[in-house]
Amino acid sequence: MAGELSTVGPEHIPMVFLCCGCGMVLADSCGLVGNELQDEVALFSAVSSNVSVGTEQKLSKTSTDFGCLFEELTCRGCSKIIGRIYRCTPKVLDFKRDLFCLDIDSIESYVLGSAEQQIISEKEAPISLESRAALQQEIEKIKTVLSALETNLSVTEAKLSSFEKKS
Amino acid sequence: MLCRDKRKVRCVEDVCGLTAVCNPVRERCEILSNSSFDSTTCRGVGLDELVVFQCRQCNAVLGDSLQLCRGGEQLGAVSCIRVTDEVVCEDCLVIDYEGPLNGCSYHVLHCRSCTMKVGFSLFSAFASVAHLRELFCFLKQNISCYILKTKTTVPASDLNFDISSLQEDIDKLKQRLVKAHNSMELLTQRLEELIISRTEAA
Ligand SMILES: [Zn+2]
Ligand SMILES: [Zn+2]
Repeated sequence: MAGELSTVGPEHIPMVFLCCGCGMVLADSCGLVGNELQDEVALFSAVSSNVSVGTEQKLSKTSTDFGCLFEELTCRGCSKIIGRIYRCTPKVLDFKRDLFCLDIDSIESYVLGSAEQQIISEKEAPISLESRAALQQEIEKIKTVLSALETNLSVTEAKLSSFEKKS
Repeated sequence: MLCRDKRKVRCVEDVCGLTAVCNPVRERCEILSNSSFDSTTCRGVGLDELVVFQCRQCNAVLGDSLQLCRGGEQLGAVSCIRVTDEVVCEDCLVIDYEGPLNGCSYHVLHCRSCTMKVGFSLFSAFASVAHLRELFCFLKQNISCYILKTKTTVPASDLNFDISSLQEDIDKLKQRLVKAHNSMELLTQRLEELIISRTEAA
């Protein structure tokens, strides 16, 4: 029963990606598709509303992505260019097409839950949203066990009733 | 942009020591390869409840909703158990003689990067706000929030951080347990009566 309720497989590590220039959040782990270390970009299927997509399509002339058409991505907070979105690609670069490619050098990251500064002792600390979620899961488990117990009880009750009638 | 540089240097120290120059994000992206992006919860918290708290003036990350707890709303604040090192808790105590914190003493919290006051941490308080002592309370008007669900940044004052209590759930559970216990008692009683009537008949 416990197995059904606990999450299977790797957990989502929530994180946000911030603009190096102004600290605005540009994207988060919910839209993250992967990263391309050679090109030093992180790929996203969706980015935050703090990212603005250029209206003009540009032709790339560098050796790695020659012939691609892309639009520039800029940070709305500081107007810095922070990446590209490729619209037209050769076969080898299809995996990047229509994805938001943010330059790794232009972004910083923060993992939610990684903050460590605390004054109150662990023992005295109230319930946080995170520990509340764990409690809620425990409550769900108890509910499942209780439901099984209630079913058992009513089955036993019915059996006993029919037995009482017979005797 | 002195503050940004400072943060970079710290990351380098943390992750690979001072000898190597590394990009903190790339480090993190590798960790992420074993994270499931499709999952709708993280540590049991629904993705729709994930919010990052930032300094409204300079966007320094101050904390997030995983460490959020109840009770800050009544003071127009967002209360957290843990915050990032971008939050500086001043050593000296301040006592207010007016406003909602009248008579309470607290430490002022400010942003390390831009020094703006971002909140307070209560040291002594009346019963009504005593549960907030030793927590970090961010003033809603001084912080902004990035909401992962909507991918937008909004002022904290636009959001409500009232977390519902689990008391109702627990109460319902208690009632069901008591009921099950009573049914069990009744069953035992009936069974015993049955046994007695059987032995008498025999
Ligand atoms: Zn920016
Ligand atoms: Zn600040």
